[in-house]
Amino acid sequence: MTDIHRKKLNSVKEKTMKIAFLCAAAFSLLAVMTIVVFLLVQGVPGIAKAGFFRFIFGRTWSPSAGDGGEYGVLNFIVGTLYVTACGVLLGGSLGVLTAVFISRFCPKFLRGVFMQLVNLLAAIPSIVYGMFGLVVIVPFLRETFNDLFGFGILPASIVLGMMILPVIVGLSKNALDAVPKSYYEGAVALGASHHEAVFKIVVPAAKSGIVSSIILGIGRAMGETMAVIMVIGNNGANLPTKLLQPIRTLTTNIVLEFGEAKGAMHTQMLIATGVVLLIFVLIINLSLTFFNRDREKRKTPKRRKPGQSDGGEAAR
Amino acid sequence: MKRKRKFSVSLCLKYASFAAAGIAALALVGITLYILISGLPHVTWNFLFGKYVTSTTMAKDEVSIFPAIVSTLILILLTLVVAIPLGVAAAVFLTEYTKPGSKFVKAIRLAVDTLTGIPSIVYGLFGALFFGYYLKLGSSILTGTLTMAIVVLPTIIRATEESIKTVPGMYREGSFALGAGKQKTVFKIVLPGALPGIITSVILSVGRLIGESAAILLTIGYSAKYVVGSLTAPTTNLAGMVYFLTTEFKNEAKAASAVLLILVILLNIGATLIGSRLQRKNKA
Repeated sequence: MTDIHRKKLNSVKEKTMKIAFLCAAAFSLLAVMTIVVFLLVQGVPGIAKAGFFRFIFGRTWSPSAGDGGEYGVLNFIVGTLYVTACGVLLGGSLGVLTAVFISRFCPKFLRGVFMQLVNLLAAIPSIVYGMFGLVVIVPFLRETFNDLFGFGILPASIVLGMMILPVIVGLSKNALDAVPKSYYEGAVALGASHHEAVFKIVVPAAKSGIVSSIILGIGRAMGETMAVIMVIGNNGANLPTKLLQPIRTLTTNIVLEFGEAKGAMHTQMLIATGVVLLIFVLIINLSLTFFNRDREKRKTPKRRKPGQSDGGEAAR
Repeated sequence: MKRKRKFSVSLCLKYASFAAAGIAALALVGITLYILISGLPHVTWNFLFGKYVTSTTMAKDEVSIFPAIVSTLILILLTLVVAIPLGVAAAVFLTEYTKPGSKFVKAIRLAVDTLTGIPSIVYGLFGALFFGYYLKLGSSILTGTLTMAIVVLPTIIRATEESIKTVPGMYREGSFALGAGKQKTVFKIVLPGALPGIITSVILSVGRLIGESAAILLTIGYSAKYVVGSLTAPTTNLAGMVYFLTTEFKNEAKAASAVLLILVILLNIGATLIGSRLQRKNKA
C-alpha cells in the first residue's frame, strides 16, 4: 500500500515539476507576444488618430502645436536608416576584415588575445561608448571639419561601428573557421598564394555566415539608443541630409520626450514611434531567422552528387 | 618559373585586413585607456561611498555615486531572484523534456531569439507602460526589476542550455538505473553539472544590469541623489548615473564611467575564466 502511495506521489511530483518547467519555457513566448501586442494596442490608435500618412510621412514633430499637436516621424525614420546604414558600413567592413585577419593571418599566439579584446569591446556598456563619443569624437570632428557642433550622423556611425564590431567579428570568424580545410588546400595546390586562397576561396565560402553577422549588426545598430543620443545632436526639425548636422532617430526621440510627455496623446505618439522601431527590428530579426534556416538546409548534404568529396568542387 | 607581379585585389585586401584589425584593437585600447585615465583621478572615497550633497550656493554639487551603487545592488539581487529560476527552468525544459524537432520548442526558440533582438528602449517603453502605468508601480526599482528580468532572460536560458548539453548522457542513465526519477535526476545530476553555465549567465546578467541605460531610464528613472528608501521610489543604476552626470558634471561622469568600465572588465574576465575551466573540464 505505502509503495503504491509513494509511486502515486512520485508521479504527481514528476508531473507538477514538468508543468512548472513547461510554464517557465512558455514564459518567453508569452513575454514576446505580450510586448508586441501590448505596444501595438497602445500605439496603433494614436497612429490612426494622427492619420497614418501624416504620421509616417509627416516632417513636423511638435507636441505643443495646435490642438493635440502635430506628429510626423519621417525625419526620425530617415535618421535611423541613415545612421544604421553608415554605422553598419563602417563596422561591417572593419569587422569582416578583422575577422579574416584573426582567422587566417594572425599568428597563433595572438589569436586568443585578439578574441579576448573583441569580447571586451562587446562588454562595454553603451553609455560608456556614448561618453567617449561625446568627449572625444565630437570635439575632434568639430575641430577637424570646422563644424559648429560636431554632432550628427558621422560621430553616431563611428560609435555604432565600434559597438557592432564585436558581433560581426565573432560570427564572421566562426563562419570563416568553419570553411573546410580542403577548400584552402585545393586553392594553394593549384598555385594560389595564401592571400589569394583566403580572399578568393575561403571568404566566398563563408559568405552566408558573414551576411548573417551583418544582418545581426543592422538590428543592433538600429535599436541602439544611449550611445546615439549623446552624439547625434537631437534636433528633430532637420531632415538628415549632411553627415554633420544635429538630427534625431526613432530611439532617441522616445528617451528625450518620454519623461516629459505632455498628456495622453503625446505619450501615445511616443509609443507609436516605438512601434515603428519595433516593426523594423522584428522584420530584421525574422529575416535573420529565415536566412539562417535556409543556410542550415543548404548545409545538409542532400544536394551533393555522389562521388563528390567535401570541397571537391573548389579544388577542381 | 616566377609569376608576373601585378596589381592584385587580394593582396590589397590582405593589407586592408591587417589595417582593420589594427584599428579595431586601437579602438578598444583607446576607449579603455581614455576613460580610465581621464576618469580615475576623479574617483575619490567620497565619490564612491560618500553622501550626495546638493549645493545651495552657486558652487558645484558634491557628487557621490553611492546612492546609485545601492540601487544597482538591490536591482541586481531582485532581478536575479526573478530571472534565474525562470531561465534555468526554461533551459531544463528545452533540453531535458522535449524532442529537438517539436513545434513548441521551435516556437520557444524563436521567441528567445526575438527577445534577444528587441532593443532595450522598447523594453523600457513596455516596462514603463505595463508595469509602471497599468500595474501602478510607477518609476521604481520594482518596475525596473520586472523589466530587466525579461531583458536578461534569454541570456540565462542560452548559457544554461549550453552548459546542460555538456552534461554527459551517461550520468543521466546512471541516475535512472539507480531508480531516480526524472525530477530527481534534473536536480541532483543535471543542474549541478550545469552550474558553471548558470554562474556565467549570472555574471553576464550582472554586467547587463550595471551597464543598461535606455531601459533603466524609462523604468527606474535617473534621480540619484538620495539612497533609495523604498522599492517604489524612483532611483537609478550606475549607467543611469553616468547619463545623469553628463549634462553638468563632465569630470564626475568620466569618473563614473571609469568605475563602470572597471566593473564590467572584471566581470568579463570572470566569465572568461569560468568558460575556459568549463572547456577544460569537457576535454578531460
